[in-house]
Amino acid sequence: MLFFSMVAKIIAVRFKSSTSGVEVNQKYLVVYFICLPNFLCLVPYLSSPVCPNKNSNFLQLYESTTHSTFGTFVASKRASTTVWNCCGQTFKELSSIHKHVARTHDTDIHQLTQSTFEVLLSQIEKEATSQQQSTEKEPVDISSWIPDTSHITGDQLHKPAMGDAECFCDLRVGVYKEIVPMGVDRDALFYSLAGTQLEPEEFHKEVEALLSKGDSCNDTILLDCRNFYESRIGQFSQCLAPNIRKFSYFPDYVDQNLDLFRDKKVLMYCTGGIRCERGSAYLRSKHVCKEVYQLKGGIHKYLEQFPEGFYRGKLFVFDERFAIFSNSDIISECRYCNSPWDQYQLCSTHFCCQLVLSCSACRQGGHTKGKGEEPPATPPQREECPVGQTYPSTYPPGYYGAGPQQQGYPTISGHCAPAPNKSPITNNDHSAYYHHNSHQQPIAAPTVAPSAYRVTQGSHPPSQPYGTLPTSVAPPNPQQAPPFQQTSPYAPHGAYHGQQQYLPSQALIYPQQLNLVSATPSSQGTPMYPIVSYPSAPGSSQYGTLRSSQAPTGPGAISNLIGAPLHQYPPGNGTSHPASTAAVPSGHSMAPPGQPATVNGQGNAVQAPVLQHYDQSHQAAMAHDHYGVTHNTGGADGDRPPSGTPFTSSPGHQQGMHYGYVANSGASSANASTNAAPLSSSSDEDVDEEEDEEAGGDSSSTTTGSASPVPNSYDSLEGGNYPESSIPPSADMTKQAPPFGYGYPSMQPAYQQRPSPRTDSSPSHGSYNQTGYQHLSQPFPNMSQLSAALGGLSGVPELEVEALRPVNLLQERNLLPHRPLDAPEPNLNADLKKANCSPDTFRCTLTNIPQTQALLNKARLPLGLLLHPFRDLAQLPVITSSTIVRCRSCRTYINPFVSFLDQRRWKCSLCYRVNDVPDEFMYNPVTRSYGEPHKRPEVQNSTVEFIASSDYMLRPPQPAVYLFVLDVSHNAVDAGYLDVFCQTLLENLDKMPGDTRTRVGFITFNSTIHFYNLHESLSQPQMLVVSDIDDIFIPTHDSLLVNLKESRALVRVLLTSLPGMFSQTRETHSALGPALQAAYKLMSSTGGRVSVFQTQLPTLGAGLLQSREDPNQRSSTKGVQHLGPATDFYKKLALDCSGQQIGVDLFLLSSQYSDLASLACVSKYSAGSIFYYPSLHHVHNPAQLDKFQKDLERYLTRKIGFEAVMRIRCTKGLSIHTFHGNFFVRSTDLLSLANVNPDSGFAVQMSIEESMADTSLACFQAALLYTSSKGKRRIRVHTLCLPVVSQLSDVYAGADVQAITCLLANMAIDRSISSSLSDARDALVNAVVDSLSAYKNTVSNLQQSGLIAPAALCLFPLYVLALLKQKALRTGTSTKLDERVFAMCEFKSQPLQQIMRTVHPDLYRLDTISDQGALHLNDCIVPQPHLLHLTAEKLTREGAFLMDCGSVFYLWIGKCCNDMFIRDVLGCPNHASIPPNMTQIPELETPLSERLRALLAWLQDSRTFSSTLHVLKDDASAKTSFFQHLVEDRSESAFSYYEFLLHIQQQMTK
Amino acid sequence: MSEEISWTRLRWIEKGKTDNSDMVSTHIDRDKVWRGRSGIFSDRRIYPQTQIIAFDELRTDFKNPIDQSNPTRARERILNIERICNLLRKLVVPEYSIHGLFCLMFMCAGEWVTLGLNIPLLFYHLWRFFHRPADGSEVMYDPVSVMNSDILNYCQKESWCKLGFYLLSFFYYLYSMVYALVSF
Repeated sequence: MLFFSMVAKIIAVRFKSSTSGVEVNQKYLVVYFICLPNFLCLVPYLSSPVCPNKNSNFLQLYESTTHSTFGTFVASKRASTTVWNCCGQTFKELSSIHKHVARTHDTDIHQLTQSTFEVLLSQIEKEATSQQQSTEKEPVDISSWIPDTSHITGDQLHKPAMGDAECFCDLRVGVYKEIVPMGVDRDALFYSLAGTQLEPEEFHKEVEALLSKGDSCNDTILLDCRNFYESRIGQFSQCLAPNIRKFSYFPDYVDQNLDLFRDKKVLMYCTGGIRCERGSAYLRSKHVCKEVYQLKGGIHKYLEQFPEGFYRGKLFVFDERFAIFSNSDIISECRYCNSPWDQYQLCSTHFCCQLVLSCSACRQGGHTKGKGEEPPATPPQREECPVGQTYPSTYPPGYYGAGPQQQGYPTISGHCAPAPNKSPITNNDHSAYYHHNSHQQPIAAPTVAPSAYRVTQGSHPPSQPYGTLPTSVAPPNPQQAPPFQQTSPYAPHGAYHGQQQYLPSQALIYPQQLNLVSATPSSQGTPMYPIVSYPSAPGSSQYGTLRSSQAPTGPGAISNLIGAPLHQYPPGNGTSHPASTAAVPSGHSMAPPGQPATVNGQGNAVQAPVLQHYDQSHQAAMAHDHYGVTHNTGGADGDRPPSGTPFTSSPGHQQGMHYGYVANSGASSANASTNAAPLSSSSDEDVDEEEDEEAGGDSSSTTTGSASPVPNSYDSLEGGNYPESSIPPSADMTKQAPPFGYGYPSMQPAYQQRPSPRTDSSPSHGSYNQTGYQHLSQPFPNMSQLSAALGGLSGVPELEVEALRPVNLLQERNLLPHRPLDAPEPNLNADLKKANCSPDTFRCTLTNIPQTQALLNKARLPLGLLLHPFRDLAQLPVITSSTIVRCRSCRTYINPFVSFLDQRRWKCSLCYRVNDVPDEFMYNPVTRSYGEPHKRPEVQNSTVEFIASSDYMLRPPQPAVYLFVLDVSHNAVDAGYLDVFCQTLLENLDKMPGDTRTRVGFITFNSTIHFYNLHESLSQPQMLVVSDIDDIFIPTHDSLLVNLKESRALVRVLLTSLPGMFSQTRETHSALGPALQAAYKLMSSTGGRVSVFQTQLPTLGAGLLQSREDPNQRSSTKGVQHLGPATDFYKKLALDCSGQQIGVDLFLLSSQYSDLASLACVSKYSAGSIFYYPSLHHVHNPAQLDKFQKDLERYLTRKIGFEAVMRIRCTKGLSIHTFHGNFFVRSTDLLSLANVNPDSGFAVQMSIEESMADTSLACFQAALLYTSSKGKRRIRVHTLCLPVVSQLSDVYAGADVQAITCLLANMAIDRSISSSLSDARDALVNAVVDSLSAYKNTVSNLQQSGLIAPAALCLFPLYVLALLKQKALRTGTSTKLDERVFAMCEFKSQPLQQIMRTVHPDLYRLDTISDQGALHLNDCIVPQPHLLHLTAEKLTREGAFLMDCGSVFYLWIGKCCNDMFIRDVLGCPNHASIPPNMTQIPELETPLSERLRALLAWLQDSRTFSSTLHVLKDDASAKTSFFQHLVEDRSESAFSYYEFLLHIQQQMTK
Repeated sequence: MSEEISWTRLRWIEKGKTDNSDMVSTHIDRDKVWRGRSGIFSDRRIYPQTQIIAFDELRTDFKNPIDQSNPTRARERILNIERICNLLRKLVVPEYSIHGLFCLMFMCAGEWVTLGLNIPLLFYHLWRFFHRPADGSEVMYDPVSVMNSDILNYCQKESWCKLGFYLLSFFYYLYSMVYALVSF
């Protein structure tokens, strides 16, 4: 019993907080034993050994006994959970039964108490004796266990508190090292050193003295040791209340604010005196204060004596009561309406579990509501949780409803507002925020938070404009807005919102138009971009057609422009302002007097009105009224021509319908803006950024003059100098060489490629490029033509016959075409064909869709789609329109394949519903005429991008947030990746997509997690180490994710110093799981991208993994184990991330087994990408490091879309059933993509559910809704149209063998994970066998022997064989498990071209290349060597061969290769002198070398990630890596191609 | 609106255990006298029933596509999916084990015909249980793949079939018990 009593001293009673959700960090020694009488016997022992004062002890015992008796009495009357019966009465409320018992059963209670007390007393005596015995019996000395408590008197050890069983519904007993953990070791800090204890009376006097001196009192500090939410609802007047969230932050607080306490008298108090005990001891140990006093017994005791003393407000307690009160003061305010309120409510945000002060009125108004309740009608403000974001917090439902009226971005308000951090600083901003009563803080803040934070908090009066921009804040009055503002960091957002809110105009940004226009003036040398707006007012609306395009300078340009065939612009408009048009540099728009400037929808509506938009009073309802003003000011700010054209218009003039037609060409207008005249840098910037986005990332605007924050990042990738890609294709297609200005490297092969003879027969690429021109040059078919087009196919072309030509695979040796295979052309009407989606983006395995499932089954071919929806496009029509026209029933976007029944109605191509054409749509901005809806760009292009209106976002779009999680264990440092990473990031810091809101953060980890505080005010980065990896927390919410613009210097410092910081580390462990959890917590409020760099198996914390690979099984021909994840930790984390819109990209740089199968899950389900660099080492494997660096560069600078969803719709009758790729399937047809990147591909499988006999066309539409890095919500829509056929032969004729192979690869990988690898391999072989035998049995009439395949499928067996020999699916060859898993991941997430190059590399012979059929690009000649079969037969000792494997090129030099070739190309005298590890071709001036480099560059150009080149000598040991790609040859464990064919034939005859 | 509905439905599913067991226990009280051994059986009916509702729930997303595309719905939706999958997973082992127990009891009682009727399902259960995804803690119903409509369709069909089977067998047992009582 003694033992028990000893332990009881360090008992912490912890009330279960699950119901309340309050995080209870404090464990009180205030012993709430009242609820459980059984424990009463403990009470005396708590104090008796230490406290000789029996009397007070008994008094307390009696008191608590009374309470418990009362409680048990009430409990005995309970009938059910909420009903009490007593004396024949029924009580429904606890208070009423309490009252009743207290009034009527007082005597009963008294008697009961007496008897209980007597029993207790006798027990005590008994125990006292037995205790002595037991101490004799158990001489174990446990006194060392417990701290010295001799200085604590008994009445401090347990404190009675009013309350009842309802308050203390749960009792837990546990042994805790510290009751109130302060994070300082007990041994290091003795309790006995605590501050002098003051009795409440003394304390009262001290406070009185302090208060009487008023503000003049500088030598005394009244310090509140409690957490900020406690002190908020009740505190001593004029106290200093640190902004700490838990007590363990107190030492940090003291450390940081030592100066505050220097030579002061400090009076400390807390709830019950325990925290003071620890806190004052800590403060005293710092030896800075003059005196430290603490309130004995805490506020509890004080209030007992001075209920009306200096303590005002309520006393927060950690139980169901939340707060107890002694006086009626309410010192805190409701978070929302600022009315006095001090009752905490749980934040309704899911998982937030934090306390919010919201008054009942505000609750009814929708704040702090529970789930499931109806969202409020009025847009509420952001609910703010007082305690930062410890929990993954979503936005409260009410918040979603708020929509664009929301004040402030989520990134700066609410959860992201400076939360109490680990290093709390009592500055005025914070306390104003957390303590609404805003006390005058007696001390100055050492560090002042950026004022932007404070002001953007949602709790402030609604009239506050979003005006806290760090730099120039544009005045709301547009007239006063400086026309040319200096770069305002927030301008792009402004632009964004300006656009969505203030642009009712249907401004079409439609780059393809450019071709047209530039067709005429293309011979002109200097590009100038006059921007003309053509005001015209058909009906009551005003339309401005804007055009920024390539055209000669000056008025001549305009006449040229006007003379452009399709655009009969009224000359009057154009020529009336020649000067201004020529001079308007950036603005896309030029408005004549009296007309509202048509904002081009992009960059110009930047400043004042936009900011004003944040004014909360600016409701959506009023938006229309503001339009006029907006346009004017937009023009005034950005667009006003320097010539000073009068610019006045009245809002009333507007009809709410503006059409702005803007022909934007990526860089052109940006160039224009810099070339023509120096204009406001802000508008330059905007234009620039916009172009960047619009052109799908191709615009290589090299803004020379203006300081564009985001220099174009796509130069190297797309290469496209815009003028080149905007060359009118119509002119080029027939000519060998383009007329002018081709920079060769910038060519887009897919587009600009001169069609070789082969491609001539199926000019799919060409047709895509032509669409822009031809559609506009030829009037689109009128109604009758269109319906005719929809009605049927235009005969059976020869193509089809050719595709069906039977090929005997066993006899035909040369199946490969000379040039890489193109996608088969769907058999469509020429017009539809032209309008169809590019096969690079959207491809179907069967270009002729079978009518019924039965037919599909007969064909035995898989039906599915392969998509590359977000790829970098050279030309992309971007449409801004107030209404996005969609089918009313299936929500399909209007597309080129809909049919217009008449002028006012269109029929959906997917569900066949007839919809009305909205009025706005009737107007065609291209021809500026009414009644031609089918000429709208939406109807002319199958790939378009819409700028989504505010309907599509219910919260402001998220900013670009990048978090880098870096492994810094010994292994990582050894590999040396950190230098490369930091270097690359430093170089590309400015090229990362984003705007002024872009935020970055860094986390490093080994066995601990390190965070970096990069707040701009710091002189150097501050490293915060969290070693508690089991329960990871974010040390401070303040500045771990910082605005890149503001903290750039600090980020640079960090990146420079990071490699050195860990160079000496000996830490080998890796706590990846906790690091990821930390990243999740850090990012959960914003979403964004997490890039994880990992170099080994995670060995610590959650998600730790064991090695599962058995090296001896690597080459086993049986199944391969462990392809699935070992733990679902990463999958769960990925789902959480996906829910918070966080994409996790994984870079695995490990030389050993790292269980990629498990790790990859974190990226797979959060729509990330996976990169794997086996055996990366800065010394041993520089080639790999080089590749890593290049990939990283691309990775950092590539386009990115956030919080994306993709939906794929298809014609009624078809249904999608399985998806492949990296994403989370959120609904049966909706893919959730936290991040979307231009390098990922997707695949879907489809089935035919209903017969499609009544239709001749099937349409597929993929719509990707995403937030661009500039914070715009955009929808990219691709539509594919394919014919439906009823004949089996047609199905075969339309088979797309590459797409089929890719889809099969995806299916095989699924199968190998869910079932087994051998199953998957069998399934692949069966796919070939089935389809060929089905063809033989049904279509082919020839009864010849041999293996017959239709020409369309003649490569099918070859590709499947190649698949079987891939790393992912091969057996019998030694393959590391990680590499295999990585290959699988690649298959699942790569776009088709990339997969095909990997599966079946292209082999060319180089030493014999000639200029025959070569492409002439600019001044380069790109030879087009023929493809060779992948067999060693084709290799000769005399030759030099190039193999293009997608991510790697091999240049194989034969032993007897011509010395001239070696000298000319490699710069070595002969074969023997070629260095072994050559990875580059020297730049020699010989024609051969030039050709070769041109070829390599051209090949390189079509892919986004750079490929490495390996020069292999015939005798090199590295040639195994080369020969493994020769898939037609026999390997030790796999068939040769001929054997494989025989095998198939054998299977077929079975 | 749809959100609310789905919430209430979900609540119902969450509470499914208590609600259903209340319901079932009254059934048992009433029918115990009659049914004897088949009394418990109604317990098992709830599994496929719950499953059907759950799958339906999974399938029913917010109908408004704008809602659906809203990124902020994502978390809610994912939580929903995860929760339903967790619920379903929890029910798998009890259902299978109860069915196994029944088969065992039939075997002990020598009810070979009844056992024969149940054997296919027993084997199906065994197959299903041992061919679950390799992922350690997941029994079945993986949240990341369950939304693929082929899997969802399969699961839904499976539940309907099982519900039918359990219903039929319930009546069959009832019949045979009454028959046994009468002939007794």
